[in-house]
Amino acid sequence: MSDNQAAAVDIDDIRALIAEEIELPVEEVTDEADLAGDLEVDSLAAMEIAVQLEKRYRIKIDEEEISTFTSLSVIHRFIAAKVGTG
Amino acid sequence: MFVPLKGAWALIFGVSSGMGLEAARALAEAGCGIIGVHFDLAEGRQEAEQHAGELGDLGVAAHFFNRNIASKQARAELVPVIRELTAGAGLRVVVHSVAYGTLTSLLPSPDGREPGTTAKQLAMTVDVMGHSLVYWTQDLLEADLLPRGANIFAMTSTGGTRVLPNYAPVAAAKAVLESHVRHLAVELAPRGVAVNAIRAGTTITPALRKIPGSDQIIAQCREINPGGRLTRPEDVAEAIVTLSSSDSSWLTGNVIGVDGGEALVR
Repeated sequence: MSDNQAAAVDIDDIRALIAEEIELPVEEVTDEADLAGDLEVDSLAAMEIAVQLEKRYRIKIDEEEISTFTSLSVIHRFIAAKVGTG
Repeated sequence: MFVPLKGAWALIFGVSSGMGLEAARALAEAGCGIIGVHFDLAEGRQEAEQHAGELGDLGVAAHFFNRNIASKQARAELVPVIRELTAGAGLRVVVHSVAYGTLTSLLPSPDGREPGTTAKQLAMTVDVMGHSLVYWTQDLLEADLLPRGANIFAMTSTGGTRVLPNYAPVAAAKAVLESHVRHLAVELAPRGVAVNAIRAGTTITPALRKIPGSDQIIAQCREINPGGRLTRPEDVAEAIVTLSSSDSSWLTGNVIGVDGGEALVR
């Protein structure tokens, strides 16, 4: 079930969204790159990403949930689950 | 000279809660149109839209934008919108009431559990809560949106000069903000634009609630405030409306306490 939900949300769309927000080439936003450590995403940039994800996928994200956004693959699973239950 | 606020425009950063929201209410009640900027997730954004609707019910125009005020792109997009909304007349009031920063100590805690601040946290906090006032003032001035008689207010706190636990990055931002207020006041004086910092007393707002140990601060200040109560957002809003109701630019470059005398005895 979770695989189907994950498939419905395209990881490359999220990759492009993150790359645009943090002004990096998409290829640098790899699935497992550590957002804070490798891509220098600070809490404000993470907030920007969260606001854009909310808009794109019509979901609600709690402030506490943003701190769990450690990599693209984690965000992808998170969004897929939200969209699936939303 | 007293000049009514009716028909004028106010730009408020941090309009979705606390002092920014209360300032918006009071200015709207005085007849001022409100352009508000805030930065919230979906739940906060919905609440903000409700507040914008309530301001509209007071019979003034109210436009809220969910943007990160520290972003250059947001400034580039919003300044032309402000020019259009105010029909080129510009702003009578600008309120900088921005609470977005890292709450931590500078150094690791003795037990090693808290790591202390990082360069990125310090830079981000000071940029958002301090430097953003300068960048917006630059862009508003360039767009000719700060006419003679305009008033700029920046919300500071006792943290600008005193030490509170786990407040260090925000305290640095407040110290920077107060310095920017002084320099902007001098640089804008020939243009007849006043710039002041408002140092509210301890006020229960969402931003205060986020400070570790805020319960003790609240209890202590309730005890010692000479006025016998904590500061309310309405106190700050009233000060802003009062000071904005004059076209004099002579009251400028100050840190104005709005605290019932709290800072004098704290």
